[in-house]
Amino acid sequence: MNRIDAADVLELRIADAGEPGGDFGLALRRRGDGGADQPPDARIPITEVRRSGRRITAGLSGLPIADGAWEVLWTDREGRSGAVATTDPGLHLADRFAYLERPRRRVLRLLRDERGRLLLRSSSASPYAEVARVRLDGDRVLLSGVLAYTPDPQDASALLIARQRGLDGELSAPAELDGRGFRCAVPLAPLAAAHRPERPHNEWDLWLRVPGTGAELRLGSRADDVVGKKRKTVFPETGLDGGPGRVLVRPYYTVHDDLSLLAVEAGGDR
Amino acid sequence: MKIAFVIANAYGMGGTVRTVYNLAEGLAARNEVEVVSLARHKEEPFFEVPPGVGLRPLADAGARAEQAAAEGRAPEPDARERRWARRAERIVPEAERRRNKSFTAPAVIALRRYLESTDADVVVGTRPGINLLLAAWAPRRLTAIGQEHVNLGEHKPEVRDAIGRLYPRLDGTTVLTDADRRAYRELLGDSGDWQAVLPNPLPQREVPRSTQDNPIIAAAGRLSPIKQYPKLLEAFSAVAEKHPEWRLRIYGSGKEEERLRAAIVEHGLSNQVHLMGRTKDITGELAKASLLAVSSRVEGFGMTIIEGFSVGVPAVSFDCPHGPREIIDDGGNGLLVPDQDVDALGAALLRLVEDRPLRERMAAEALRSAADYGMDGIVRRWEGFLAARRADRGWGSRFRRHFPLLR
Repeated sequence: MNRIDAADVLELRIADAGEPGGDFGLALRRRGDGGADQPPDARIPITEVRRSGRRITAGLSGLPIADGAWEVLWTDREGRSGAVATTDPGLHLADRFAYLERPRRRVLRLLRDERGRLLLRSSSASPYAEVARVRLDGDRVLLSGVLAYTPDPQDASALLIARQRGLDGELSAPAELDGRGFRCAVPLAPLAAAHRPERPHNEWDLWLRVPGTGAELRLGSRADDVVGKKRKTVFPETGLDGGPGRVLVRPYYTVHDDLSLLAVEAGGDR
Repeated sequence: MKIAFVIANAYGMGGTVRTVYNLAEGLAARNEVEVVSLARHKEEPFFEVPPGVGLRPLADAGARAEQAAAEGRAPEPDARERRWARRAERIVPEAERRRNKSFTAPAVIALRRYLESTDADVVVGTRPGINLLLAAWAPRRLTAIGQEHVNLGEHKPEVRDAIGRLYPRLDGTTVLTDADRRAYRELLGDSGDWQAVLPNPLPQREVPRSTQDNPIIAAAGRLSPIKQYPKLLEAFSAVAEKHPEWRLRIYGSGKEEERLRAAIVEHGLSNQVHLMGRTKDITGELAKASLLAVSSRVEGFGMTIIEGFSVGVPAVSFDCPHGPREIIDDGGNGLLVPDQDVDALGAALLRLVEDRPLRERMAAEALRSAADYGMDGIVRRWEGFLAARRADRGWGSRFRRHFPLLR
């Protein structure tokens, strides 16, 4: 078993058999995937390693781990090293959600490659709003989720903003906050009324403006390991009377797994 | 011994190719193994040929064949070879030739040449058309084995008729399940050791293990009508409603995708079902889940169930023909529910979702069951079977001894 907690402490449980005996340390080695900042093979020793029985903990928060994939290696005093093999599939959804609850600019995740080696993936991140549930309810879209990587909000109210991509439309709806959770209902009639037929696809990107957290938060779904939700999920659509004709609206995930609404004219080209 | 597997197209993807490569890799540890492909439609095979296994293409297919013809590289058959090709059309039923496009004249001619010249001891066919050609044409010095990946009942009647007439000329046959063996007994009578039940082995790899922590149910297999995924969505609704944090992940691609997308919307499961597409690391993905669900009309064998077991994921399945009931021990390594009873499937999923200790006991049992499908054991059973067929060659091969070549 291996995991990373919300304080970026790596925890490994080693098996009885095949463990390196005696004193050993851990290091990260850049996987040769052409990262710009560090050459392949660059190594970062992990200095803060504690061992108690089969449990090993290692603090990663202070380490300069550039974006990309890193192999986790064990090292010994003679300078030998090897890949840490794991049987952990590398996904602990509960940990992933707990990880959202602190401000951070860098996300560390563990995974297991096809050959069973333990990898660490580092990626830059900005605060956003993690979507838990999207529901179409008549002429409204109901949204709920949690704030990710922000400080705890001070207020109980926020504002959901929908921006017409490539155009100047902007609509807003009140949102409720409950701790780090958010929920709101987006009315679709104004969105249909603002439909611009010269653009066959009217995409409306969704943002959450939370007082005291700085910038606006884009809505998206990134906490789990499902990348590419555009093809992997499917939402219902609803028809509304828009400016020039009937407009069909449905939620969708973008290629970046952000949540947007798509409005098209009924009977038009998709 | 030298063993040759004959596949319709070893360059393509699909279950048969994958499992034959896998078995070939296991057998190659103590034997010389060669994979012979009737057709070759591209330069490199989709799956990597296992180390120590040879690959021998017999004829170009598709665009490759057209290009060869345009450049004057296609061999021109002589009168005798044209006769072989015409005979092959009588031996391989039209239904089989329609289903698999690899039985071209150049391919069957090359197969006949191969059979006459190969130094293999054993040649194993991997689908009816090939097995029928081996039955008709394999010289007596070759031990000819027919491996069946599909249940007899799933073949078209004219293919079954041809099997009834010609398979007895083979030196042995293998099937994947006891159910299929019973079907053959009905067709051919008691054939004794001539036929063996040899399930597909698990690949010999280090695999991860489910932690049983994640609220994920997995399903895997082509998005085709036979998998009945809309029924699974209906069953999963019982879980989705009571436990909104649970997800259903469906791995695979296929023609039913659009219908399935509509069904997801219809059942209100947009937030809880993911169509994951194909994956190269199915065991790695299954290990992220806590349960595997099977909603098929028919499951020829059930490799996914065994792959799930190998990573400690119990299965919940319809008691459909043929594989699930032979793999799943109801209440032990999973749950079997009455065939096509969607409510029962939903209730069984819900039961395991809500009872983690039971799920964990079943996961441990599933890991033990997976050992029965380990590469080493299955390979030894294959070696034993092939050695016995080479020594015996009674029941079937006497037909071929008396009438060596079928005209």
